[in-house]
Amino acid sequence: MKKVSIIIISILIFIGVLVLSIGLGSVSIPVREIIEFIFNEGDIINKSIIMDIRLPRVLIAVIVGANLATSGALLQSVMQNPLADPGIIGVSSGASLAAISVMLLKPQYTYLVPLFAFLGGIFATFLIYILAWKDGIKPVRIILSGVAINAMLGGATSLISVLNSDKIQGVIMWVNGSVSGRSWNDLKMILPYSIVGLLLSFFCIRPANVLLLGDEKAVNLGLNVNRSRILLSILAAFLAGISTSVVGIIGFIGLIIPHISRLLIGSDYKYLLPFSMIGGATMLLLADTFARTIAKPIELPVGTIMAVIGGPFFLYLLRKGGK
Amino acid sequence: MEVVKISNLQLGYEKKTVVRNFTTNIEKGEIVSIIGPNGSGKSTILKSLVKLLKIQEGMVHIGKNSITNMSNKEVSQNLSILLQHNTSPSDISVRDLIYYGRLPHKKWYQSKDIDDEQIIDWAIENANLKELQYKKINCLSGGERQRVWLAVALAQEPKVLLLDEPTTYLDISYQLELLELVKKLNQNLNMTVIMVLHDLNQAAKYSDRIIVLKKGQIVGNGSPREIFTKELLREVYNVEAKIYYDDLDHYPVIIPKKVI
Repeated sequence: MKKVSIIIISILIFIGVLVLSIGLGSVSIPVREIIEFIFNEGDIINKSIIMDIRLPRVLIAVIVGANLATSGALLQSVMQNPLADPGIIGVSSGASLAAISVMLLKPQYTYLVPLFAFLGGIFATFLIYILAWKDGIKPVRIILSGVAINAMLGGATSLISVLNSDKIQGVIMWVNGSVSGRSWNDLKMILPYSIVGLLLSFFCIRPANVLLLGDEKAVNLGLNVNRSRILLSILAAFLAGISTSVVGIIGFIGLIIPHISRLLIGSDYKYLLPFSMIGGATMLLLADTFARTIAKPIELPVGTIMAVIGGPFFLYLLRKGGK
Repeated sequence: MEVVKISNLQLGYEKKTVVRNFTTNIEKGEIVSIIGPNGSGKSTILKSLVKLLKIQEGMVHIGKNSITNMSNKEVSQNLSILLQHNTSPSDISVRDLIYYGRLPHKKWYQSKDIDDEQIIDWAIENANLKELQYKKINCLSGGERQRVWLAVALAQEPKVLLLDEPTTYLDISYQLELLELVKKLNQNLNMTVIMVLHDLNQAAKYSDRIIVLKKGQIVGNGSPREIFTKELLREVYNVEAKIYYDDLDHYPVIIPKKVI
């Protein structure tokens, strides 16, 4: 079938980008050598670059890309709006405020930043949904209370940053999102949660599809609309939250990837979800490869790269009508 | 035999009461139209029947069961609604969309099976969609789309079909086509229908019984010939009208003359 072959092609492209991404960086390693490593041969130093530095970073980019794209795809169904992304439900702003507070105010606990970022993101989401609740939960109310909470948290973040501007240097990289310097430990931390979250998302296929038929018909097809919205949102917040906790703020993947996926493979979540996962992984790998090769040996934050690519694309979507 | 029993229904939004003391029994195989001016509570009643709105007071029974004690899913197996405005992804095929009508009968882990395919075929047949079934929804006209949503409602295998101003956004030919289709479903399958209509002449032509609402209360309940009188139109709609009767089928035809 056509859709299955699109997914197979996308997997092949993903593998190509993966190999490329392992090879490229401040030290470039040819593909032939990467293949040799698989058979336990080749240069020791290059091997250590790959095993200790490149590989964990590349795998984190894969996982985070898949998580964020899945999160966005789920939220676009929850909001019945293809312009929704994890930022809207406060995950990024909540995580930023928590992470920055720890880094600037209690720097001795910096090792706890991932935990606090995760809790901050989830707490902000929780707050937004509580405020949006009125006899059930409607997309417009989530979006509006999201805007308000995001603005407040953003303001608080700026305030703390300004008051501690002497110590801001190390924080900038986190806020702009980066997978550089991530280790196997970071990978171990998010991998199990990500696998569980991504697998759970496959149970959301039917409610995600039915929500697109509008609340009233969804109810008359036997769906518990409020419960579905909340469960999908919890999963989306969880996937975005664990990702943000390890790599900081990376915007636009959750918006762009499901959108491109929809254009390529259609809006049925049965195909849209797996395709978004592969697409998100590929996109973040590409962006990260770009971020570390474009100005080498300086590495740019991948979040910034995504925003620079994502901004114009977002405008393009708006111009095209956004519905 | 009555399929739906509505007694002393009171409905509203927050503190405002919209419908009061609504009582009626819907018989098997009947086409009942609810009419009334804007804001009289017609659509509110349909919404409460499929649990889109909480019932403030009173009871609705399907057979022996009160809908208050039934889940969404159980109600959706018995009552299906065709809304005036529907949304769907633009790239979904007609057949795939109609499949969603099967969901009230499926557990969350069950996927499409042979029985579903047969019922989808049956719904497609009855909604005249055979040639269109593999087309994408965005290639269809408004009238064709409304027929697809009718097929979704049929695929639910409902005991009662609810239509909430189903012809509002359609051209006149599509309006007739849809109502003729509903009539045919009623005659061939003995389908029970409750509909809310704006157009009095359509209500007069296609209904067995008409319920007239004014400010949330029943002010008339009977056959079209009993209901459509000059007095009622004056009292309920503030309209001076002439009433003729169709030569062949004898249903009333209303010609509005002026606002009083």
